[in-house]
Amino acid sequence: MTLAENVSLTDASLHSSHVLNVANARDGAARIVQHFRVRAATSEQKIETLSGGNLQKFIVGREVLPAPPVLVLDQPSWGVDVGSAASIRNELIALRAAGCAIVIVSEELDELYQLADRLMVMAGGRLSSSRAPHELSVGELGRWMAGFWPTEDHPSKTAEHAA
Amino acid sequence: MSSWRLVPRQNASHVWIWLSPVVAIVLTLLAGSTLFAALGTSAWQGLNVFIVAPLETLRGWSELALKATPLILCGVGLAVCFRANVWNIGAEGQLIAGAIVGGGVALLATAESSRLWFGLVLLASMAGGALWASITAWLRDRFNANEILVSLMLVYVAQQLISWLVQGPWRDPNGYGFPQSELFAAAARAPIIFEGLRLNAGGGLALLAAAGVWWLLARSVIGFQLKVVGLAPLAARYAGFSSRRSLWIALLVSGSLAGLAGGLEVAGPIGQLTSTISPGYGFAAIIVAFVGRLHPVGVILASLVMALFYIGGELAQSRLGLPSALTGIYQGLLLFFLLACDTFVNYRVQSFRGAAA
Repeated sequence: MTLAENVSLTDASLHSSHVLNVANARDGAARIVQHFRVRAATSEQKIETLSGGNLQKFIVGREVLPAPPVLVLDQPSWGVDVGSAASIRNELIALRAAGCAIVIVSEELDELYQLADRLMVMAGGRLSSSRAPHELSVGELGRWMAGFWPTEDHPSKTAEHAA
Repeated sequence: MSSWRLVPRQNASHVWIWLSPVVAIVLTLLAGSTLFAALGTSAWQGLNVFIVAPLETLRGWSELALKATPLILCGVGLAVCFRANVWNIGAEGQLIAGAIVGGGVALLATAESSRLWFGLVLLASMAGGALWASITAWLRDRFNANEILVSLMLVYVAQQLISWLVQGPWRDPNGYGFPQSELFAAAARAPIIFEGLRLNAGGGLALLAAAGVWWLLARSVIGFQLKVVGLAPLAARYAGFSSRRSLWIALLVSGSLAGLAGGLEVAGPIGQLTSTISPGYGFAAIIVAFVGRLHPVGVILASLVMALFYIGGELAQSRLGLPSALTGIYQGLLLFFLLACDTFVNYRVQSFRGAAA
């Protein structure tokens, strides 16, 4: 699959039109490559030939650039170098500022503290209540992750309410 | 001491993807010429009759295009299937089913019928091929049956069906008992393009079909979905593409094109239904599709090569007294060498020096 074809995967017009907009897909891929500094020669390059980090940058770019209203991410900076991880985070912050609701699932705590407005822990089948990053120390978060829930908090109840 | 080993390439070689069929064709001709020598003909004379003689006359080119027509139609249809990871091995059966339904409509035409009847024959043959392919699609969809086995076995069912029809209900009462139907009325026959040559309008239809399949695969959303389902099922699910829809579309497209090929054969050069309407076009088209790299332009070129093998085999039989099985052997050699050469798409040869082992 080429980069342009990969961009087409999430093109919303796929479901409304019968004709593929090849030029648009190529432009879209080129924009992602340029914006996220993906090491790729052309939009027609096979996506399998990208390195892991470049692939990750490209895919995050594919999801971020169309500015969706809601975005769910799992380990967005997984496998990319420090510089690229920072640029991915900056893009996510910009996207949030533009009004996108973002849910990030990650074990990268520094990243979560930098990006999140609210933190929740899911462990042992329970979901904790949400806290702002400045209300929750890394140590406490770590204990939650290990399954030591605070006594004053009733995680299972909270989860029910949330459900 | 040095040894040679196959080492996996990091990325598939773009050069070898297109070089492989060319090398395979050259190797097929080389191996084929040693075959001529073994049969007591000089290699040069054999190759001359096999691949040069058919192209020396205008009539030869017309015959080449005529034989390439069903191969192109079946081949581009199979390219759609194989791209979608649907292993339709039964184009031969779909071709026969198309010939049966199209032929049935053609038999209804009379001397007074309008020329439009031929269009009706084509539509009927496409419907017949699509119907036959839909049996495979339904069995795969409903029972998760293996489409390779089901489509292949349905070929033999179709062969028995046409054999029964031309020996039973549709047999020409004035045909001296031969297993064949009456000749079709002129209105149901494919119009000839050039007076005196057998090439008919089907050749143009095959090129149109190839162009249509190119558009489907390269420019349409449906084709894109087919390719993604075939290439990356998980990505397809993520994007919300239905693999069931792909299965049905791929089989219906290739079934109707194979059916059209069958209809054009019986309404074209044959002119009636007989028990053997195809010298294995549907099977040869599988080789054609892969030699043509599942690309419509490649399929057209590969069809011409394969058509040459068919005609060469006939000429080798009539002019040199060699067995007509040569055609099948050439087809087999081509597939064999193609598969061998395709190794180099994903592997390269590396030499290891010294006692590395």
